Amino acid sequence: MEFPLLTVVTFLPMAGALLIAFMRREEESAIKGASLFVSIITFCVSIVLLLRFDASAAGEYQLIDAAAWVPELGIGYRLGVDGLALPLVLLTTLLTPVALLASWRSVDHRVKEFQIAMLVLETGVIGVFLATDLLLFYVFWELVLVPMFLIIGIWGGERRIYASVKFFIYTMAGSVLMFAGILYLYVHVPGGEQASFDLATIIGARGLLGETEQLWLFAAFAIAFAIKVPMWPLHTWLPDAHVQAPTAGSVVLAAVLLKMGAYGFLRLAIPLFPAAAVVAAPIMVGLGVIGIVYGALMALAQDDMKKLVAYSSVSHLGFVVIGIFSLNEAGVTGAIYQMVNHGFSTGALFLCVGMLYERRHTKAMADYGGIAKVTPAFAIVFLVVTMSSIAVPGTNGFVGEFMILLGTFTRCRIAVAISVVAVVLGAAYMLWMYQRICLGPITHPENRRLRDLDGREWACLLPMIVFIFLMGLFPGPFLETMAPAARAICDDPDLAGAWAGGLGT
Amino acid sequence: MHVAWLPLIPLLPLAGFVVNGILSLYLRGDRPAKGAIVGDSRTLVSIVGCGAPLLSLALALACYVRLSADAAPLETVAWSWLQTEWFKAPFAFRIDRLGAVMCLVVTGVGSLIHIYSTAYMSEEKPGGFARYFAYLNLFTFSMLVLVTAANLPLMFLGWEGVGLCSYLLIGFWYDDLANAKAGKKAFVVNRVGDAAFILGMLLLAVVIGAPATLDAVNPAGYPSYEEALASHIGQIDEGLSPEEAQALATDIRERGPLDFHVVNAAAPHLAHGTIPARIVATESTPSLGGKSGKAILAAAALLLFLGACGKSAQIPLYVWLPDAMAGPTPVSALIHAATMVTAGVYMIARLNGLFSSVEGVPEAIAMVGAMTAVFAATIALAQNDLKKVLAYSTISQLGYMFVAVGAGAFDAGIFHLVTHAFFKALLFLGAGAVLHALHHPSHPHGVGDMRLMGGLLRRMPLTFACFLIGGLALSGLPPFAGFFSKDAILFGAYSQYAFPHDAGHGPNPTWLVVWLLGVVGAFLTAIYTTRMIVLTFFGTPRFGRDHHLVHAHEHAHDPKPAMAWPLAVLMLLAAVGGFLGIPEMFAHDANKISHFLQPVWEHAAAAHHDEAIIAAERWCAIVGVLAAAAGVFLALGIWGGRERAEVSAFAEGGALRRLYVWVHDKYYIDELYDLVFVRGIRGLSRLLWRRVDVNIIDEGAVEGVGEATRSLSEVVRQVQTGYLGRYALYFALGVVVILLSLFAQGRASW
Repeated sequence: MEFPLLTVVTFLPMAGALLIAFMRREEESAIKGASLFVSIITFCVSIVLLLRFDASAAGEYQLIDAAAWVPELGIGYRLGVDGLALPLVLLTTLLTPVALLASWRSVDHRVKEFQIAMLVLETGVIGVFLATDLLLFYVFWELVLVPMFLIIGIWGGERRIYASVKFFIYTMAGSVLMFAGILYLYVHVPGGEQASFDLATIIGARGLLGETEQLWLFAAFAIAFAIKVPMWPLHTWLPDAHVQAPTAGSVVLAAVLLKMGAYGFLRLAIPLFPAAAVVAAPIMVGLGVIGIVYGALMALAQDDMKKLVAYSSVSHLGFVVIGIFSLNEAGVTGAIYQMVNHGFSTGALFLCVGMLYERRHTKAMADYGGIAKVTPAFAIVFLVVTMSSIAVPGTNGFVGEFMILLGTFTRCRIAVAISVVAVVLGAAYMLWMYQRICLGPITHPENRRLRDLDGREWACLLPMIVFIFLMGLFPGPFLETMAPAARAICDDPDLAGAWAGGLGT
Repeated sequence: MHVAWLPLIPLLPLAGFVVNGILSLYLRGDRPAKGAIVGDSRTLVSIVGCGAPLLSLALALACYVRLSADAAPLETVAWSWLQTEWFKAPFAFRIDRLGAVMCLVVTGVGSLIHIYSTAYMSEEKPGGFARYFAYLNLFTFSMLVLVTAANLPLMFLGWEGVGLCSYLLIGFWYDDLANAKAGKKAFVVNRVGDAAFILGMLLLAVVIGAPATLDAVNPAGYPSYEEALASHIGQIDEGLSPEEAQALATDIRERGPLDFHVVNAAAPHLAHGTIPARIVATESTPSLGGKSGKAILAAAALLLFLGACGKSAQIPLYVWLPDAMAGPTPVSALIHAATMVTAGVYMIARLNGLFSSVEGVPEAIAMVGAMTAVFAATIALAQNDLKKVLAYSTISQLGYMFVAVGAGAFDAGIFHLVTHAFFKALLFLGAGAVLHALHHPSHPHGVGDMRLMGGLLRRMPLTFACFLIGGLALSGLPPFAGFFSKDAILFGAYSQYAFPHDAGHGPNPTWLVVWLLGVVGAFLTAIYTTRMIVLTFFGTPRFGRDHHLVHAHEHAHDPKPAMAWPLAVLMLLAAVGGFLGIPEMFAHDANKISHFLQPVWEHAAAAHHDEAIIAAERWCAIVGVLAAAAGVFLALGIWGGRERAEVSAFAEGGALRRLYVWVHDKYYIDELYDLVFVRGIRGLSRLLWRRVDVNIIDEGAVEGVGEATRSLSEVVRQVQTGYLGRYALYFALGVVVILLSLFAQGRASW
């Protein structure tokens, strides 16, 4: 039997969490060290995964780990990785140690529980990206919810209870719909003796579904994913969650958790219900465009750094949505690219904001100003991240955004014409934030003695900066992995009629 | 011709940026210098900072030499960048003769300004000094990418890169919030143009490159562009042989649809309908008519031109450039006069094949340029700040360049770009010398207010000479550089009117208006230039109004050698640079720059000269010189008198006074934009956030659902009373209901 690489990547963090559970709660630095070590090992294993991955066959599942789980009910334990899942898994394994390192000092109570929650979260997220069995997918999906709920609710800010309950109930409401959809599929496709939760089996037999059935099921899945993305108007849990979450929580939430929604569309909703996806595409693109402009306008109105970044996420993920529902290779590849981009750029933004918060314990931009003079290294890093966020060419953001716009443009020119408004608004709100934090005279005497970045903080930010430029200047290897997966999704014959009927203009 | 080292031209300044950037962090703050390496950190920074563009200049000269022997472009593909099924835009560099001219301007004038800066910025702290040169080198890198890129997306990388550097350098002294805000304004206004630029790129990419399989209506289902083209070869009736069509299709696939060579080659055929415009197939009618192709190309050209309006500060996006004067003066000379702001002109010249094959757009470009030329010149008349005058002058002169490229006189546009780089850099650096001489702890970056100047002639003769030669060149008086290039532009516009290429339509009065505006602009230019020189250098000193400056004035003197030498070189260039383009009326075939650039304009008709044309050229030149001379004399008359050296020549009386204030306040356009766009959008965003996001979506819908659930559970809770008897009753009722329903069902199936 081959070495179960995917299983190891998925469950290594959970095993680490179990180990930490047996450590004495007083040994805080040992606990922190152990969890960081586990997450780094997980990252190393995921690098092995990258090396073993065959990019030329990135359109199909590889390194499959399969075992019977509850064979009587057709529930299987099946993990597989393709060009869509791989970048997201690597993003997760890279950002978890970064997030742990970032919260090294700021989380000072219930350290043990925090580390356990973060590691369990990592297992859940990786599981979501690797599961190829619907029930397994759902188990991981729900598994993610619990530690995140705790991270916001226990280590969050003043209104943490409100935010965490809102996050939990909102996401849960969507999940329930999806679960109903999964059960319906189990019963009806292919149903009877062959009843199975295996994704490939169900996709193979999706022809059994009628058109109306497809639409209803698509809606059930789509609402769950739309909440997670989040798409307008289901986004209001996000600013609250982000503002209240501790830095590590915000980083992981923005960088990976939001990707679960977009991933769900690409992995489940579209391949399972292509005809419905085609019908829904104009609506989804419409909502995406609204999200892009609306999110940018909301960001412009904020005085709180974290809220601004949270709303900018709504805008950026709007781009991901229109890319996905352009349903062509350029757009979907761009969307996958943008998912990873957003992980780095917004993850880095939250890191930067968290570093300021650690120093001054305020998220209001009015409490800063002119700090470039005291913390020049921070100012440079923050500028790089800002440029990445507004997709200046040479950074990763431009590559993703351009491909998304290219893909969408061949479908719906109006959508693109409206979306580019965000090019202007994005520059406006990000540079305004940069100005209010870094430029001008120092108006608060407390800021005169701010400490510049230390080694630990550099260690958090450096990988982000490296990837911002790597993906911005040398996108070749990344695209070679993602494009086949995108092609596999778009080559679906049932998607061929996409955007027909005059909507394409 | 493949030349592998081409990327070095931009990469050398990038290396300079990295070194100086690291040094700036290392030298930051008030930390005492440590070790030998920082013993004299300014020397090291200066060597790196100036060495990088000088090395690039050497490489650019090598390119120039090769290209003057053989016009075949030098090119290389470094690595792949954007890529998807039918689209690609690699990191590909290409230098043709146009690119070589641009590289020489950027590295040549750029190097001079770098050298000048070593003295100008010498009072910065070591960290700031290094940061300044890091930014300047990063700018040089971006600008060189812009001019050596072989495709539009890569050009866009340089395009936004120079915008970023402009942002950083305008806000260089960022502890003054006004400077930081000016930088942000420049970036955001530029982004309006950039958004249009992106749309233009997408439109071109799709119309040239997207295969028919992407389109919703695809009657033929061609799997590749080659096949699509091949199927049309039978229908091609003009201009394109089957072999050429095949070669073009291969080019589109291999170089990508946004390669300049590809765009210029494909545009005329798309416009004439000799090859199918792919995007047309997505319309409800699958016809591949040439007219639609033309309309789409025109839309793309207009969008790209709007992008150019942002970068090159044309109406309606010019408002950022005057504010950009907040940056150090050498930056104004390099970025906001000589190089970056000319990027729009370069882009249009680079895409000459596209812009000369669409209808209506060239006229629009020329008209916008001409209107900007006059409009900005009027504002320059009423400015009191030395640099503001020069800034509006730059906007106005850029307008002339757009007139040229609109009129199809691409060589005249580039010629003016070059001479303007000489004389405007000279004027700005001269202004820098004045500011440098008049600085004082209360005005650390110098005083630019001409109302406080006067009488500097005796104290700063070299600087005066700079202004005199620069001013004569700017005014377009022979034999200085600006005369030749401005004359070529005005004649270009006039000949569109008098000698239209398409004689069938008769003369187009638009071009007469453009030409007239150009002449008016020349008149105004001479006035504000003369006024500026008179107020600064002539008359009696007016420093008394600011007691700090009395002292400064007594010590005002010409600059140090590191600043003086670049001034001297630029003086020479501004004086004789015009001889690069001697027009036909003076000597036959002596227009070197036009001749040199000829191979670049792939589809432009070769200029021909007959008696009538040369006569018109002579006539145009006389009108232009007379207008300029009239401007000079008028300005001398108004401001020249010793007693009237005050700025207030227009600042008295009723209506005239009001007019003066209106012009002085820039027609309140900035205030209008601020009200409509800045405050308007900010207000809208606050309103949307409070009312829609918080009140309706979140408190209304989301928490409403929560509330509703809670109320419902309150109702349901009433049922759970805890009395056993009640429960027994519910139970009994339930049983009855179930039995009844079973009974009903049963009867139905029986």
